[in-house]
Amino acid sequence: MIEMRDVTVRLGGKTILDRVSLSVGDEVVALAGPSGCGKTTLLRVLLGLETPVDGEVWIGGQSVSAQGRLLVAPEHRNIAMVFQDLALWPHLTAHGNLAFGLRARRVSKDERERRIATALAWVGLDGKGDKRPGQLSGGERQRVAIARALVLDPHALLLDEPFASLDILLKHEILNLLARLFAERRLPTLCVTHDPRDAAALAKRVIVLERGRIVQEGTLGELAEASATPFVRAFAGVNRTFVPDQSA
Amino acid sequence: MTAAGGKWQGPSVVAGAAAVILIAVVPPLIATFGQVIGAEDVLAPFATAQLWLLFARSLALAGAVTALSLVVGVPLGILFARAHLPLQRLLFAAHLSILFLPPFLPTLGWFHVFGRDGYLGGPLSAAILFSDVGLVLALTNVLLPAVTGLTAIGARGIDASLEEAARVAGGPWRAAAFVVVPTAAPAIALAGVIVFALAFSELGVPMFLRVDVYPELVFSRLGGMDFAPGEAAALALPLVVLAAALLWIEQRLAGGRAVAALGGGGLGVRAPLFAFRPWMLGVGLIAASISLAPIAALLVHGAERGGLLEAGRWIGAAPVNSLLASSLAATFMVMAGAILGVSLARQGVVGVWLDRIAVLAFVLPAAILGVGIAYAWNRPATNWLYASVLVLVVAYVARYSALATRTVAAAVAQTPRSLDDAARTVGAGYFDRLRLQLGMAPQALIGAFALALVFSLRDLETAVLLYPPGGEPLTARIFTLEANGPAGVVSALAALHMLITFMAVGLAWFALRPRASA
Repeated sequence: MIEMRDVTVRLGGKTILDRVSLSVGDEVVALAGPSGCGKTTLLRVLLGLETPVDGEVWIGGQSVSAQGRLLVAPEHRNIAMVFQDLALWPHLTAHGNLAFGLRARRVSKDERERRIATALAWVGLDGKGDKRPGQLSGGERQRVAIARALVLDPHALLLDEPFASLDILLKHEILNLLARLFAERRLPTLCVTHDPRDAAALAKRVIVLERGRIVQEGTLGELAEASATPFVRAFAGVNRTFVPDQSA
Repeated sequence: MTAAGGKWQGPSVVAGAAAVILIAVVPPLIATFGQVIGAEDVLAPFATAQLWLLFARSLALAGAVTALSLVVGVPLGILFARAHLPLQRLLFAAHLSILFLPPFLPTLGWFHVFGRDGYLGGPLSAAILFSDVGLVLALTNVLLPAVTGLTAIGARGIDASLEEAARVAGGPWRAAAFVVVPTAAPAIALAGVIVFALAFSELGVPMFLRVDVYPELVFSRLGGMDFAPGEAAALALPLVVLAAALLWIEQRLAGGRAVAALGGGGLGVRAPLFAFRPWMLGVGLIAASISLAPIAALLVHGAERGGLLEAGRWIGAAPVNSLLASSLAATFMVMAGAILGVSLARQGVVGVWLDRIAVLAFVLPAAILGVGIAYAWNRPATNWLYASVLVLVVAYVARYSALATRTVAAAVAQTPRSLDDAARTVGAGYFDRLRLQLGMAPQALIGAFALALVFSLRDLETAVLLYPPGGEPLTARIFTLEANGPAGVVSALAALHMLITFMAVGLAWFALRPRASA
């Protein structure tokens, strides 16, 4: 469970998030909004990379930030993120990228190897653990980033525009992978997206953020039916055509 | 379609810039080899084990300075770059300040502290100072900021999300050790090469501390009772091999990747990696104090001995000579560096090769350049240059042009190539595109000029071999007075040198300071 209660973030004298409250249970929730509305800051608050000046953040039933204080450091929140640019460490192999967090958690070598092998196999990258990011294709890099997030067995998963730089075939492939993930593991997931088709494919519920405030939330149908702002109308009104494979 | 007359604009301008570097660097090397080939019994000095032991000892001392600088400087660089520290900029600037001084000045300051009659000195501290250990510590004190500074720039330049992904998965310490440091490795490797090259080249500190080193042997063959110019050229040969090895290491470990790593484009908006801890402030204060202590000792000593009042009688034209030669050299270096730096940033063949030549000259022990420049330019036809301050300009350009080229290249490498392509597609000529690219990185030119100026001002090793009668730069003046002049005056002149240097650095700092965007 991810929960934010009246969270306010100010950076450089500007209010980036203004009394934002949301909760994500064992479900996938899409977070949408125009550029610069505070989506990425919201993810950074959940990760612990920004400290709110006010409000509370709860992850897995534990208060991690409250009243302007960071109660739990980012590395102890056990929350994983797939970054927009993937942020794969270029000097480490795929195996090394997955092992990094496990070593930090002092997971024994045998257990570590088992979990890495399982995660790589799960994303279809058996035998590619010794490749560096530069030696992998775009789709394979995306899979490594997902495997790196999942290998830590996190309390929650954050996805920052996971399809932003993918072509249509790769996007289809990764959407299917994520759909399988959510079907198998009921993991609280918040997915930032600017594409309503992605939101429709992955999430039942959509939260719309504008100028640092949540302006509306609901299913895409509900948003289309009674849009609170022109952005919501434009977002929810786009023709949604993508449907993930039912076999996934 | 290209602009009218544009076809030859680029090649001719690049050729002109290349000529500046080549004229400064190549004749000394050719002349040195010419002397070696023409001399009799050229290999005779190499038959003694003593010479090779001295060479090995010099390598070991420079290696020790490099290792110590890396061990201390890398964590310190990460601390200054990625920790939340009160007075961060002030402490960092204070720590870096010593790098811009000729190394023998701070050593002189330590002498006033730890020498036999120093403020905190005694027989034991003097014995340590005048030993191999003292030499390693004195040179590490001066060269450590090169590692700290380049590590900090490299650490700030890495992609924000790479660091944050590591921070979330493994915490700040593991992120620093396993992601930030490896990503900044090219900048750190470059720092290691620079420290080794400068430590090996250093003449002033070992001569002052009476520690025998190989470059001093070459120097001794160029003056005084041991005058033997042919032998000096022969003795310089192992240094060429050493410089070639350093160039190979630099190209392999750093090279173009260092240019990218030093560009600082990945900073973005991110919180400090390490939250504030009181001990971090303590470390920052110690780092700043160790740089400032010898400077303060010199100032106090100069004031106590009345040197500040007497300095005027001893100073001569040395400050003018220093400023004239250094600013002329810096101007040439920036003009050539602006053109070659753009070429290097875009991986142009000429830029890449000229950069290698310039880096070779930088890592080449200064004694060789000094010997070579004397052989190349000390002829009747070129006496107008050799007998004037211009010979110092040639020496400075030869030795330090890599600094200007690399600074410009690091900045230009951060601007998208597509911007240049867009200018080309609308028919912009070479000069328009050059102006466009440099216009996007105007601070690089200021930074390049400041670095070239300050390193020329601090030069002693080449200047002391070459300065013409009446053209003595301030470093050489202080160095010669140190042997036979009043101690208070030496300290006062050292203080004047520091004042000139810090004014130059201060002006550059002011020009480069971050401004609030409109």
